[in-house]
This record gives sequence, C-alpha cells and structure tokens, in this order.
Amino acid sequence: MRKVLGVGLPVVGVGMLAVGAWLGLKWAQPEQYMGDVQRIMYVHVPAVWMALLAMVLNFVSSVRRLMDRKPLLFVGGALGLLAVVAGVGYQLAVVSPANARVERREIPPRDGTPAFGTLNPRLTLVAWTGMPCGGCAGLTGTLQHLEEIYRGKLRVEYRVLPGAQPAAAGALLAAHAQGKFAALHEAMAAETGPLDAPALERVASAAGLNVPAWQAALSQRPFAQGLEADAAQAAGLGISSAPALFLNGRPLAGPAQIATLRVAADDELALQDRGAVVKYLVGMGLVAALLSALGAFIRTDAQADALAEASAEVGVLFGAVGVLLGAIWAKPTWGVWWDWDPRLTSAAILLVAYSGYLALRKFVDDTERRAVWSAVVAIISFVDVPIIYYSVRWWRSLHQVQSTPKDVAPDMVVALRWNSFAFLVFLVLFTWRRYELSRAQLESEQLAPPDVPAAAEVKA
Amino acid sequence: MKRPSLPRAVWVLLGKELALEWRTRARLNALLFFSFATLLLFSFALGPDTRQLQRGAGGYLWLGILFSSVLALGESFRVEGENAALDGLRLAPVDARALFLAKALGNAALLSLLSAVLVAPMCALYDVSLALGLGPLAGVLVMGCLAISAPGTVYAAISSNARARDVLLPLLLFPLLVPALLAAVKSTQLVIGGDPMNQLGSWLGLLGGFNLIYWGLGFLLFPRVIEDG
Repeated sequence: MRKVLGVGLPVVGVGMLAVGAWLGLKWAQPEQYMGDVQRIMYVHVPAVWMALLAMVLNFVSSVRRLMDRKPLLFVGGALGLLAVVAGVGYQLAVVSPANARVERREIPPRDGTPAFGTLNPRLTLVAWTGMPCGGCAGLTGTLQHLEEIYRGKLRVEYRVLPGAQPAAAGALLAAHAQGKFAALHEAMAAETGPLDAPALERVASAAGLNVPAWQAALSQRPFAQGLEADAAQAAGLGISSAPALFLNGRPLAGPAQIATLRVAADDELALQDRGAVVKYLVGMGLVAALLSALGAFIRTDAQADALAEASAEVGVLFGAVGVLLGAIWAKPTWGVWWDWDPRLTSAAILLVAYSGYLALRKFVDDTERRAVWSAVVAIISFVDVPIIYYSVRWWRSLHQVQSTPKDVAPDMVVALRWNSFAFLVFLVLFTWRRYELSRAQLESEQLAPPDVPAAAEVKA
Repeated sequence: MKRPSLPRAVWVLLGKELALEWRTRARLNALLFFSFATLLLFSFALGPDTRQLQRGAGGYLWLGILFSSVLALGESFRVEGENAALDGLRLAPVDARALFLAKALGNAALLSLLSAVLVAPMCALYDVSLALGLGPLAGVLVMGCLAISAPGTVYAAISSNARARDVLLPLLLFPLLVPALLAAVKSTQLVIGGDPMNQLGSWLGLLGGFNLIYWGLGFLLFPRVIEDG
C-alpha cells in the first residue's frame, strides 16, 4: 500500500497538474476585465486554500496533542451540539417569526427585461411601470441611486404594465432595445398631455432615441412576447396601476422614494443576516464536531506532534507560494506589488506567525516541552486567523475598498476546482512524507538523547 | 494546608509582582527611557515635517509601547529564572491559572503605567492635542496594554526557556498582535483627531473582543505551558 501510494501519488499529482495547466492556460477564456493576468488565480487561489487546509490540520493535531482522544471527542461534540442547538433555537425563536410576518409573492424572472445591477443579488427589486403613471417621474433615477447605494447587492428589473395606454408600454420596450428605457421613461413621465402617436414620436426624439429604428420595432413588435408575459405576471399578482414595486417579492407600499426604499432594503438585508447567523452557528457546530472526530483518529501524542510539525511546514510552503503569486498578480492588476487586500494581508501575517511556530520548534530541544509549547502556540495562532482577516478588512474599509472579482465565469470555476484537487494531492503527499520524516527524527532523538544539554537544564 | 481560592491567590501573586517591580525601580526607569528614545527616533526618522508626525502619532506611540513590551515581558520571566523562583511558585499549592492572571495583570499594569508616562512626550514631540480628552485615551491605553500582555505572558513563559529567546518572543508575538495593534492605533488616532463618524466604539469593541479571547485562551493554556515536561 505504502509503496503504491509512494509512486502513485506523485504520478497522479503531476498528471493532474499538467491537465490543470492546460485547463488554466488554454481552455479557460481570458478574464473579461483583467485578461490573461487573471490566470495566475488558477494557481494562487489553490495554493492559499491548501495553506489554510494545512493550518486546520495543524490546529487539529495541536489540540489533540494537548488533549486525549476521549476528552477531545467529548468537548468537540459538546461544543458542536451547543452551537447547533443555539442555531436551531435562534431560527425558531427569532428568524422564522420575523420571516412569517413578511408577505412575499412569487415573481418569476423574465429574460430580456430592462435590468441593471449585480448578477448575483441579495436584493432583487422588480418595478412595474407603464403609462399613465402617477408618481413615476424620477422613478428610474431613484432606482439608479438606490443601486449605487447597494452596489454589488442589488439588482433592479423593470416590467411594463399595458394599462390604459398599451402603445406606451410597447414604446418603452422598443426603446429598451436601444438601451434607452430609462430616458424614454422619464420623458414620458414628464409629458402632461395624452400620449398619442405624434406625442410619442416627439417624446422619443426628445429622449435621444434613434426614431426610425424605434418606429420599425414598434411596427414589427419583437417585444410582443415579453409584453404579454409582463401583463400575465401583473394580472397574476393583481397589479392594476403603476408604479408597483416588489423587493425580493415583498410588495412595497407608498411612493417610491429613496428613504422608504432604503428602509425596506435594510430590513431585508437584516433578515438575511439573521438567517446567515443561523447557518453560521449550525455550520460551526458541525465543523467543531467534525474536527474533534478527525483529531480522535490520531492515536498517539507522538503522531499528533509529528503531524503538527509536518502540516505547519507544508502550510508555510504553500502559503509562501500563494502570497508570492498574489503579489505578482497585484502588480499588473493594481499597479503595485502589494495591496492591503484583507486576504493577501492576512495570508502574509499568517506566514510570519507560522514561521515563528517553526522557529520555536527548532529552538526547544526537550521533545515533551517542544510538543506542548508548539501546540499552545499553534492554537493561539489559529484562533487569530479570523480576527486578523476581519480586522484588516475593517481597517481597509475606512479607506477605499479594492474591487475583487466576485462573479466568476463557469469555465474559471472548472479550472480552479481541478487545480485545487491537483494541489490537494501534493498537500497530502508532502504532509505524509514530512510526517514520516518527523516520526523518524523523533525516534532517533529518543534513542540517542542530544549530548549537549539544553540551556534551561544547565541553569537548573 | 488549605489551597487559597483563585481570586485570593491572584491577589497575593499580583502583590508579589508589583513589589518586585517597585524594588527594582531601575528596570522600570530603563524601560521608560527606552520607550522615550523610541519616540524620539521616530521623529528623527520621519520628521521634521510636523504634519506627518501628527498624522502618525498614534502609530508611533503604540510601536513604542510594543517594542518596550517585548523587553518588559521577557524580563518578567527572566527574573523568575533566577534561583529557580518559578519552580518554587509551581511547588506552592496555587492554581497555575492564578499565576497566569497575576503575571499578565502585573505586566498590563506595568505597560499601562509606561504608556501613561509616554502620553506627555508624545503630545510634545509630535505636536498633538487630545480632541476627546484624557478619559477615552486612558481607556484605549489600558485596553491595548491588556491585549498585549495576555498573549504576551503566555509567549514570554514559552520563549524564556527556549534558545534564542530574544528573537523568538517578538517573532511569535508581533504577528499575533496585528488586530490589537490596528484597533489600538485607530482608537488612539480617533482620540487625537476627533471622532466625527463614531467609529471609536467599534474599534474598542474589537479590542475588547481580542482581550476576551486571549485572556480566556491564556487562562486555559498557561498551566500546560509551565507544567514540567
């Protein structure tokens, strides 16, 4: 088995890396904004992930070194149970009642509808408009302002209501084909007289439309299907007059003003955050239980110590590769070798912290003391990881926030996943080899104690 | 012999720490002048542009405190090595956790005193005035010093018995303290420059959370550090 793995793992790993290189360099499309530079991500991100994974392994073995298997299972299980119970309790006591108070309507998405904002929104605002419309003047501007406030969280979609003037509804959708939905909408809303054909044409040219193309669209009606779909949705929801706004399916009463919209959006975000707290608690509980179970697999203290040493060293290696690649990526992207991006910064701080851990291991000769002390340092450092990340993010958010790509294309995800698994093979291989080395070193130390006594022993 | 309760043991041991500091005042004085020299050096390295010094005053103050803290923490365990004093304490019927609390509180008190003394030179050297006054600044200084001394005490106990301890302590401690340093510097800057956007509370919250976590962790882990291997 060991021999098979010893040959198999490197072969599989190199093969996977080769395929991963092809996926990342040839197969995946260059990134929309950053182009080929983005391809560094296919190795940078897996390297950092593997470093984090190694740190988790280091943490688990360090806790195991300080605790025996049974108490470890007990404490981990109890903590996990506590978190899960707290999460479920919070859901039942706070989150579910709060959600139950909110009335939501199902609004299916419609392709080709006028829309703007992020593609993966936490908030989706659907606005029905049409003519005549009391209080529609300035609506598009208000919604654009709202999107600026909730940038990256909000998506706004328009639907049109045929209402008393079906011609106006068609005219709006025909204008959308030219990207002039908002312009025509505002021009129409400002018009006081009836919107008959000459008035529509006057308004359209005032809004800066390409009028002949627009009129051709009006006679061919390529938007007829969309118009019907909007009308059917409106009928299903019982909407009779514009404007009618729905935020994540919640009907919004009252005039569409920025202040009232913000209240509704903040309330919706708060509801989602509370739901996220539940997920976080339950997730953390499961992770605690899982990690303690993992730790209980480590049979002896010596194994735990060797595994801790191996994973820390491999983690520092992957982390150093990751931070270096991150800096190389930052140069063409942001124009500087280093940017105080929270992820990059935390990774660099971690690297220093774990180098300190490895130095400590080198500077203590007594095996028992070395194991216990380094386990204490490992636990203290690991707990610091999330604190460092959030404090750096906080610190950064008071300056300008660097945009990081969030909407990742599907072929990027494939290449990223593949490379992560290739790196995982090497993480396992390196950790395993380093672990065997640590075991051998430990054994040789115990067989032949160092003839030079440690400084502390001399003093004592 | 009856084991003293935890608070009682902490009280007695803290008294011992403070008496030790008081009787070796020369060490405290040396520490004071060292940190003062650090502040001076920052002015030489970055001055004489007063505005730049003003903008970074909080950062220089905390770096001064941080550098001195490494010396103070290392010293606090070096004295325990003399005549095997730590072994004596370990033999006493006292909870090892009381030892941690007393040591860490003693270090926090020493650092707080040090930082309090540094405020006047900071104001003078960097030409700053305290917009929010002395009260909030005192709060920030005490919380920051508490945040340094909890993990610092654990790490000082570890590194005092290792080789190359003078390198090891800052190498272990500085990366760990990044969140505390960020929060302390930001809070100090807000106290100096005013807090129009009400951010002081959240930074102090971060500092408080850091304290809570590391005083808790130190309390749990310290006995394992000083038990004999």
